Order: sequence, then C-alpha cells, then structure tokens
Amino acid sequence: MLQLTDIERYYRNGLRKTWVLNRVNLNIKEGEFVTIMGPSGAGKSTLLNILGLLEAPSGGNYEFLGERVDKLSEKKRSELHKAYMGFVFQAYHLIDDLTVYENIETPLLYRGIGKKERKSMVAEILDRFNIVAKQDLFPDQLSGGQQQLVGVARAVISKPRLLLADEPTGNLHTKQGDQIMELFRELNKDGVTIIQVTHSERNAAYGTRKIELLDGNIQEDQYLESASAL
Amino acid sequence: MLQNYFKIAARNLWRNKLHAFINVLGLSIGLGACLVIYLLAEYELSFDTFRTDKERIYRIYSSFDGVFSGFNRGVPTAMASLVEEEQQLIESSAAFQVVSGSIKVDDRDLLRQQEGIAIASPTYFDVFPDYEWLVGNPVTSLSEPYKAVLTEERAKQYFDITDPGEAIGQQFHFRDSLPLTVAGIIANIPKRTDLDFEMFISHSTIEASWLKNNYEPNNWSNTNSSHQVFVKLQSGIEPEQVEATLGQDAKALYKKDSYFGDDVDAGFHLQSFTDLHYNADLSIFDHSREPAHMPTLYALLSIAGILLFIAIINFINLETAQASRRSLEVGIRKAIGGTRKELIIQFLLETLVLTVVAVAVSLALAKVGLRYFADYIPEGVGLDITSPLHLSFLLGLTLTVALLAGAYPAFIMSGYKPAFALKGKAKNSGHVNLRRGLIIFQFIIAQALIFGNLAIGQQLNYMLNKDMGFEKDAIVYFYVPWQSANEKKIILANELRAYPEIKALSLHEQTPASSSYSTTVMKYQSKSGEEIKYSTYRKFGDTSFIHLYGMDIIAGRNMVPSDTLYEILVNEAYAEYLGFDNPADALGEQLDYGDGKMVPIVGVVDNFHFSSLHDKIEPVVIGSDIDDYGIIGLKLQITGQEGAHIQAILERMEQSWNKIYPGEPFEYNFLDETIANFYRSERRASVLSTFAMSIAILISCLGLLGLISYTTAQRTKEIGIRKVLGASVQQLVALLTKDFVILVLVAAVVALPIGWYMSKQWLQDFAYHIHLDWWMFVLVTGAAILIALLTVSFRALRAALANPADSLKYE
Repeated sequence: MLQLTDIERYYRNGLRKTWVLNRVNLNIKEGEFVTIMGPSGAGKSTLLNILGLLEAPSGGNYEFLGERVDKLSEKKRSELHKAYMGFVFQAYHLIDDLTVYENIETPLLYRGIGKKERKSMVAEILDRFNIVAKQDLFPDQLSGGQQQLVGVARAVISKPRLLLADEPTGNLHTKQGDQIMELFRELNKDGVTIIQVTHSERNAAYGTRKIELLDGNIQEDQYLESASAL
Repeated sequence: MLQNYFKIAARNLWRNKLHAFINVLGLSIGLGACLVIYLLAEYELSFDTFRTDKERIYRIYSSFDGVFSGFNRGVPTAMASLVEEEQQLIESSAAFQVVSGSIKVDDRDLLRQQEGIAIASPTYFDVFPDYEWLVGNPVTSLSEPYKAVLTEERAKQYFDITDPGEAIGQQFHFRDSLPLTVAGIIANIPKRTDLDFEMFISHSTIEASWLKNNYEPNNWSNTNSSHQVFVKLQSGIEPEQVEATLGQDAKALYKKDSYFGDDVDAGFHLQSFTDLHYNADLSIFDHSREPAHMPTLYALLSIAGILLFIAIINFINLETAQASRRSLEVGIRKAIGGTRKELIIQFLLETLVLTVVAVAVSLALAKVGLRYFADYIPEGVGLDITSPLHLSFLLGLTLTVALLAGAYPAFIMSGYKPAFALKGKAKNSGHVNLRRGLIIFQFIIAQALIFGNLAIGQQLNYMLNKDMGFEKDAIVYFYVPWQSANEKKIILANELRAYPEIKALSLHEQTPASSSYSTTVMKYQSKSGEEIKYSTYRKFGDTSFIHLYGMDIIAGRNMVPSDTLYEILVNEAYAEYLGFDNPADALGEQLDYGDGKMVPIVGVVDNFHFSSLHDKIEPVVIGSDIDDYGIIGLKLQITGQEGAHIQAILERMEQSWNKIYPGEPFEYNFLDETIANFYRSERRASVLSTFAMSIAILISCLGLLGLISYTTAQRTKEIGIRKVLGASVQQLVALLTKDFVILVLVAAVVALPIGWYMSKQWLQDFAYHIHLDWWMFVLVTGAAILIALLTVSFRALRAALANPADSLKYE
C-alpha cells in the first residue's frame, strides 16, 4: 500500500542539521496492523506524521497507492486525507466547541456528504461504538476513554483505508486502552490498514507487525505470529 | 457546512467571552464613530441632489471694489429684467426676495419672525420644477399681486385646518399691513434642500404695494443679499459665456445707472447651484442655515477613516494574539480533511459574525453619539433603516470591515502546518513583531491626537482669557431695530440710564470686538507731503463708548459730544502707522475722512482687539455719528448679585423697549458670551479632537490589553521559573511592562513631530497664539505611558502574583 524509500527528516539549527529520521525504508501492505515502537526521540511520531502526510520529509521518496506523495500541494494532500486516511491522537484532539455528534460529523462535512446520509452514518457509528447517549455532550464532559472512542469514531466514519494512530492509549487506563485496541483489531479484520505508535508492548501485541525505531533508523522489523496472542 | 461554521463561531465567541467582548467593543467604537461621521457627511452632501437639471442652475452674485468692497450673494434688483432678455443663453430665470416677518391671521395671535418666505414670480418654478402642487399651479397662483402659496404644513399651522385645500381664499397679513390671499398649496418641502421656502408671495405684489419702497425694483443702486437671481442655462452653455456677456452688460449698466457707479467697480459672477450648500464666503440665503464647511467635513471623514483603521488593526492584533489557541483546531481540521480554503472561509465567517455583532452595537453607539453631539450636528442627521442608501452603506461597511479585519488572521491561521499545530506549537514569533508594529501605529495616532488636543485646548483657554484691551464682563448689549429713528434710540437710552443698576451706557456702532466690521479709507497728509491712505476699522460711538468698555486714553482727551463726525480718536496702531512713535505727537493732526472732510485727532487710545484673535490689531478710528449707532451697550452692577436679579433687570429693560419698539423682539447679548462665540468653530474643533482622541486612546488600550494577555500567557512558564529563582513581584511586573513603555516611546518619536507640525499649522490661523512648549511634548508622552501602564499593569500583576507551581505543572 505504501512504500518509503530513503526517507529523511532533519531540522536545521543554525548551520547544524539534526536528523530525526535517517534513510528509512519501509513497505507496508494493505491489511497490515503495524506498530511503531521505540524510545522517546526515536522519530516515531515524525514517521507517523510523514506517513499521514501531515509533515513533509526532507528527502527521500514516498509512494502511497503507487503514487509519489512526498511533494504534493496542500490541496492534493487534503484530497488524500479525505479519501483514504483517518487519524487518532494521543490527546484525542476533539474540537472543544463541537458536540460528540458534531465532531464525528465534521469529516463528512469536509467530504461534501449530504445531510441525510450524514445523519445515518453518524447514527450508525454512534450505535456501533455504544456512545449514542453521549452524542449531545461536549468533549470536556466525557472521560478520556470516552473521548478517545469519539476520536476513533471520527477517524473511521469516512471509512478510511489507512488509520494512523499516535499513542492512542497513551492517556488512558489499561482497561480503556484495551477497549480501543479491541476496536482497532476489529477494524483491521474489516480490512482497514492500521499504523500505530505506542510505547506499550501490550498494545503492540494486537498488531501483525512490529517496527522498532532507534535514533531515526529502523532497528528491527518483525512480523508477529498471531494477532490473537492475548 | 455553513451552519457548522456559524455554530463554531457562536460557540467560540461564547467560550471566549472576554476576548470577544474586547474585540467587538473595539470594533464597534470605531464603527460607531465612522457611522456618525458618515451620516453627517451623507446629510451634508445630499442637499438638493434631487433637483432636475441642477448642474445647469446658477446663482448670480456680485462683487464690488471701490469705496465699498467685497462680495454680495445678492444682485441689484435691476438684474431681474436683464437676465430675461438673454434667452439664447438662459432657458429660465428666477428673481426672488428672501424675506421674513410677522404673520397675522384675523383673530389669531401674531406669529412673529416667520422665516422661509420668498417673494417670487411663477418663473421660479421653471428653474426649480420639483414642487408638488396640491392646489393651484405657479401661473394661476402667483401671477396676480397679493397672492400667496403655502406648504401644506404652514397652511395647517396658520389656519388650523385639516384639509389644506380649505386654506384657499383665506386672508392674512404679512408684516402688519400687507394683505395676502392664499391661492395655492404645495406639498411640504423635503428636509434636505436649501430652498426651504414654505411660503411664496407673488412677485407682482412688490410693484403693487408698499414693498416697492423696501425692495426698489429695477434699480442698479440697490444690491441687497435678500435679492436673489437664479438662472437655468440653455444646454451646452458654459457659465463663463454668461459671465462674459451678461456679466459685462450688467457691469456697464451698473457703472452708468448706479448711484455708486463712479466710485465702485462692480462684477457679476455665476455660482453653481451645486456649490450653494458649501460656499462659506457667499453663504446660502439670509437667515438660512450655515453652509456646510467642507474642510471640517473632510477632516471628519479622515478621522472616521483613521478610527476605523485603528479599530481594524486592533481586531487583527487581538485575533492573531489568539491564534495559537486556535492552532490545535486548525491541525485537527486539516488532519480530518479540511482544506486551507475551507479554513479561510471558516475564519472569515467567524469574523463576519463578530463584525455583524459589532455593527449592531455600533448602531446603538451611533445613536448615543448623535444625541451627545446634538449641538454640533444638524437636526436632520440620523440613521434611517428603511433608506436603501443607509442599508447598503451598512452592508458594505460590514463586509469590508469583516474582510479587512478577517483576511490576515484567516490567512495566517489557516496556513499552520498540521504536525506542528497538533502539538500546539504554531509558530508565532513573526506576529509578535507585527503586533508590536500595530500597537506602535495606534500609539502614534493616539499621541498625535493628544498633542493636537492639548494645543487646541491651550489656545482656546488663551483666547478666552486673554486681555482684549477692553472690559467684557457684565456688559449687555442689544441692537435697536434697523434704521430706527435717532430720537427713539435716545429716548430708550435715556430711560435706561435712569436705572440704578446700570453703571454705564453707550450708543455705538459696534462692540469693541465684533465678528462683523466696517472699514473706511482714511487719508493723511504727512509732514513730508506724502499721502498715507489706509483702510481703517471704524468703531464709532458716543462719548461714553470708551468709558463703558474701560479703554485707556494714552494721549490727549476724549471727543466732545457731537451727533455728527467732529473729532476723532485713533488707536495706537494707527498713530504708529501714520509715523508717530510717540502717540502724543499725533494729536491735532487732521485726517481726511474720505469725502474731503477733515477731522482732527484729539486722543489716542491704547490698542485693543477689534475682532477675534485670528486677526492682528489694525488701525482703528473712533468717531461720532449718531446715524450709525445701532447698538446700546450697558454695564450692569452685578457684583455679588443672583442670576434672578439680573433676569429681573433684563425684564424691566424689555418693558422699556416695548414702549418704544412695540412688536419688535428684544434680543440682548452678553459681551463675554459674544466673544466666546468668536471661537465657536475652535470649540467645535476641540470637541471633535477630544472625541477622536478618546476613541483612539480607548481602542489603543484595548489593543494593549490584547497584547499583554497574549504575552503573559506566552511567558507564564518563564515567569514561573524566574519566580522560583527568586524574582520579586516588582521585578516581574517591570519585566512584563518594560516593553510597552518602549513601544510608546518609539511611537512618540513619530507622533510628536506630526502633532507638533499639525498643531503649528492650525495655530497659524491666529495672529495671537500660544507657543508649543517643551512641557507639552513631555506631558503627551507621559500621559500615553501612564495610560499604557494602567492598561497593562493589572494583567502583568496578576501574572506576577500567580503561583509558580501552577504555571510549571504543565508540559
């Protein structure tokens, strides 16, 4: 599905360059559930941002669905976001001024989906995630776990083929975290490709592949036996 | 989508109430000021715009050069028939007299001093056809003598009727003895016209009645500002052509037929009708409203522009200060598929919502403003929500302001890179400099305005308190009716002299300082044989004139009593002009009073201001000629007296007046008030500059408030760390506020020269004026610093007092 070739990312600090990612090569196929791990500062989030087209690489080649995407215009990037990608963030990043319903609805608005269809899509996902009762609440009225559920719901409502998650359970209790991971596994079974960044081995165990990042290099790339180890 | 945007906008406003409040307030103050000024300008600029063929209509006016000189908005009465002959050039012409006077309807009370009356022929309505006739028409109603046409409103007022048609055939008397019959009714005149005549008397009445003694038709010698001639030129004819032909013919006729023909060179010119409302030199008509003062209007419009501009700057400033708070939302929206364009639209819509609220608030502010400045604003000025012009202005203003204020923040915020925005680390350093620039700009305007305001205030104070060279306190004066018989003046003066409360009384031509004046060319044959001619100012009066006003004789003596010119007093300036450095040397010299009559100088009075302080002291002569005395001035014994006591004296004076001048209104003036009124336009300028200054300061303070909120928020962590390291509250407040003092000082470098230059320009209008001292510069910048510090200190103090444990907890 996507192919990274010699991807670099560095920051210029005066005359000095600081590398965050150093010639990363990576190939991810459709249907994989990839976990990116590594210590703080290894470049995990940067890699995820590059994969999600939120940040441009300083060098290298990124092919997404067979097309080069590392030097796209903002408009083209936005089109890819709309068509293929969903994001889940550690801090949930719900829009404070919108209710649960409206937060979930917003991606559909950007996709120009009609009112009736929006309504049924949101209703369906609220039902599936068991948060119908919360639909009129604002984010600050929800617990962290509930907020992240909304975050995931918002990410998947537009049926993305790629779901990118940056420490999705980082702010959650273990139990809430497991709930989100179960959800991811289900989505993965339905065919959604998932790439997550995490510190937690427990979360990694839900995936099908584990990539270990250290100082901007891939240290280890390992396919897991069975996704149902737990 | 739109709905979603509006929802977000509304919730966002609600969530950040203080921010929104400051923002809306700043914008609405600027908008409100702009609105008031727009309404005023629109009012003044809309006069008579509806008139058919207005660009072909001209007024003929006169100029004179010779024994008397100057402009007159009227023309000799003989002009009326001359223009009628020029049919190749002139399509139609209207000659009319602008008059006022009492109206008496049979058994009803006398209506004194009715204004807005024109004595006109039917041709008036050829030049100005935009009248709606309810009954009658110009030809049938105004052809015969003793006919009058009234507006519906006047007809109802005079005859107490409901249907204006009932007024037809009714009789009434104009000025006691002119019987008139109502022969036509026109619809009420619109508010915005200078042709605000509500009653027309047929022109043929002049020839048929005693009016002909007053208005002397077909006479080249009689040029009165009440006698107006308007012409409508044939299409394609330029006014210069008319001036070259008709003007020259009239000039020649004036020379030949006028009583003054040999001594005066007359000229006749065309004034465009569209200029009527704006020409302060010619003014509109007798007793009409003041013409609009275009420089003031332009000044107002630029003030409106500046205020709106700094309000918009303020808005941008406050919005970009808030931008980092919104950056997370930008990141999220981009990640879930929002394009930059969509975000720009969203932010612009939010600004639009704010602007609409601000415009709504500004409507209320404008209403208050109009009431507050009622003394300075004509009556008809006001917002009319049903007027398409006003509505489109409001709409245009809203959209323009929303776009100007919203574009920059929307452009900046929508450009945040999502990866950074999601970390809440949108780059902002560039905007800090921009915001500082904006604050500096605001303070440049504010300080320049403070400086100007200070200069105007100082000059006003100086003018009101300067020793004029004569006494002005407790002096009351009034005009006797025009061309009153000398005996009547003397009887009244003698009766008043008997009042124990009146300390001194004098009959004279003009008060020592007056806004109108007359001059006479006097000749003096110097010892060296040279003839010194000078147009001197006349302040004729009886022998008590100089005593009443406390003027000092520095050489010689007062005149001896005389009803005609016999001896003369000169002021020191004239003595000097004639070459006498020692005033006493001028005594006994003979002056030629124009017509060869020689008059001796018997005394020299100390210089006094004969006019407002705009004018330099010029040569003045004081002589006696009872025919010229139109004023009775008197000094009241009022030390320690109550206002009611003075009122009682004035009422008794009115009774004495009524015995001698029954039916004439008794209108008295206090000299100090009259002198204060010389500076009405300066006072207006002062009110205006205070107003502009206050608003500029207010908006600038809001801008500061926004900036300090932002910087303290940005530096919370720094403040916490410094505090932990041992910084005192004072040190922290100083740290946070130091920057603002620097901003004000930087602004001062630009503002003070601007303020100084503009004040200097303004002061040049005055022959006697204050000097712009160094302390004014210090005061202005000191005040600006104080205002800035007061604004920011609260926020800074709060930040400095915060518990460092709270501010360091995050991250």
